[in-house]
Amino acid sequence: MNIDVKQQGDIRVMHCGGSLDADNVSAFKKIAYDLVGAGTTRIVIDCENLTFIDSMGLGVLISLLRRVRQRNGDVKVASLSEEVKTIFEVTRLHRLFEVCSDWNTAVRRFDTD
Amino acid sequence: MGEKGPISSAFTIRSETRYLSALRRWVDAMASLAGRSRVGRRARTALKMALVEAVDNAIFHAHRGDRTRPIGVRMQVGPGSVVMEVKDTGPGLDHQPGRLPEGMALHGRGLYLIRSMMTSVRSRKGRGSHTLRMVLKI
Repeated sequence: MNIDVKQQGDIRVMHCGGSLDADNVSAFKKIAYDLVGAGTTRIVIDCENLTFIDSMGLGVLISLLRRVRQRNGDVKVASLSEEVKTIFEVTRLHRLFEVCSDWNTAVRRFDTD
Repeated sequence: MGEKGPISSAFTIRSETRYLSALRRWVDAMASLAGRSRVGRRARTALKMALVEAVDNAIFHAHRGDRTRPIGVRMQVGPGSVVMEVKDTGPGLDHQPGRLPEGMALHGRGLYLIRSMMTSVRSRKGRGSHTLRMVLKI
């Protein structure tokens, strides 16, 4: 998978491509936890180019959400493909995360929270 | 070609996650061979999800990270259904509830996803082995 982190004020947008599965959760976790360790508490996961996620990928997203919410922050997800959206709905993660149509909208939503 | 008769394929992998992307491409290849009208996009999503979760389960729970232990995978695309089997050398799924865990739980969604995505799921123990048989009506 490939992850490109961009800064939008105090918000970090993680543009993710490929698949977030058991084979690469550790790479995602390292980058995401480093962001939190550096003080970031507002994160957008841009899934526009994310083609697949498995239960271990879901687990690492929830783990990240727990970490930032402990610090009064939040994680929003954006641009879910049909495949990833189906997996979110089956596991009801769309109730845990705010799902936005695109990453720009997710960034704006942080400003209205 | 291949539109009416069953198509089947099987192989054995090591207990390593690096095979997961290849397994998803295998599902796409089998669907293409069978005809995309027979195995549509939603079915392919369900098959990939269930297969990856079953192999994840074999790697991390049945084989507990022992990369040398083999995992057998088999798929047959028939006229009305797709059958997938994942065979490991673990104790089976008795210890796993298969229910959706509470919202913020980090683990426990794998078997739930398989059951949600497939028409039927059966766990069968053999001598020193366990086979998860997953069927999707198409």
